[in-house]
Amino acid sequence: MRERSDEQLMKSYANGNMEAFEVLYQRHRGPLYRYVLRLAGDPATANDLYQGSWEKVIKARSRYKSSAPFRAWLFRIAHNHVMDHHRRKNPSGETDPADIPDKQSGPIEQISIENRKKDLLAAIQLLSTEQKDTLILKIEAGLDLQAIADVTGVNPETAKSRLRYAVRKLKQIMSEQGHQDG
Amino acid sequence: MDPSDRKSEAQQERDLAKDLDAIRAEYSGLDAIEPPALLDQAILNSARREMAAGRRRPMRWIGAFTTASVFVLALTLVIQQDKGPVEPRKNNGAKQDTITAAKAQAEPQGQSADKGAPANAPQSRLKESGDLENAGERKLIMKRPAAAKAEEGQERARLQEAADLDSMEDFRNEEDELEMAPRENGQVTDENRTMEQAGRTVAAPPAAAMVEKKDKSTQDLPDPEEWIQRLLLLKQSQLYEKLEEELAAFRVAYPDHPLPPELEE
Repeated sequence: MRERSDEQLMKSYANGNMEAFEVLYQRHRGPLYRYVLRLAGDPATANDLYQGSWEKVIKARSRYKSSAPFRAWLFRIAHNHVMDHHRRKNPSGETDPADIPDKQSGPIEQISIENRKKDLLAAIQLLSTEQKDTLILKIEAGLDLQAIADVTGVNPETAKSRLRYAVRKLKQIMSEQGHQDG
Repeated sequence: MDPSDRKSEAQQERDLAKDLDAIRAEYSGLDAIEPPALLDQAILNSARREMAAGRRRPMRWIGAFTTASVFVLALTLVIQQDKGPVEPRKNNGAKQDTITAAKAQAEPQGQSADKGAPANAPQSRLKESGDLENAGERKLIMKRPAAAKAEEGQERARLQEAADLDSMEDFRNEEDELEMAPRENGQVTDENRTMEQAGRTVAAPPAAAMVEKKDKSTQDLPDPEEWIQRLLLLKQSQLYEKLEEELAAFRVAYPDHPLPPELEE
């Protein structure tokens, strides 16, 4: 049987097919969860945000237009939900000092050098929210620049610029940690 | 100027793609963190609930429609009631005109012509009596009591018929009892037949049935003199057992009524 596209499944779910939603959920649960987790930072918050994102998807099912790519639509909902959470957490728009990694005493110094995977995750956490958001959408969700721009609500050039700076900063952090090949 | 700025746009894009591939390769090597199973279940349950709620939602219009219908119906009734009581207070002349108009409308045009009345006479009379638009309503109001009376009459006739049937049924039962008594005793004689005929002639219900009905009003009981005549007939027929029963019933029904000397024995 030919595999149905995300868009077809979502339309099917909007028309009352619960099985379609289950298939759709299984396809996207991992990437979406990891995206939210990277942005949120801690698993407890990530769980809440992840569940809230799916609930928004469920409630908005009748408004979904099959002409729009489902994946971008799903991540846009999650992105908006996470950003709303950050805004509520820090209404002034300034970055919470607790969230700013201290160059001297930040996580980079605390993580084990031999654990490259953890280093990478820690390096990602050092990026700004916009850069982190753009980078995760690119490498985790696999979205192209246009889709990233749609999700984050910016134009493609801005998305491209954020992505470029995110990669540059990540390379810099990794080199500082002695991962010259990263 | 930074040398990287001098690179062509294409070169920058190639470098970016290369770096991204390296990061992606590194990133894909990370443990694939999955959402907790409980979270999955909660989300799927939420989706099912929403689906079930969505299926029920289309029925909501029925509630709204029903409410609106009831409201319109109630409003119509109130308006009609407001108009209704005013009409009967109008003078008899207007009512008479309405009745005449209704009759004239009921009659064929040809008949009206034969009687020499103008075809538009009812309308002119209506105009004289008042508002033409209210004529229809007045007719309805005038017709209402007549219809009610007819219904009442029908109901009364039906009740009367039911009562007649009931009394006929009672008499049939009584006759059956009267017939069965001698047969049970094996004493069917010519005299018995005579007695039965006499019983029918008297048309008095049997005393046993009367005793059963003693809680009914006394007007259901037969006349004591007629009853005594019946008792005498039973004695003449030598139906002593039946006579005893009847006599006992008579005593219950008329404890203070004097009996003739023949029955006192």
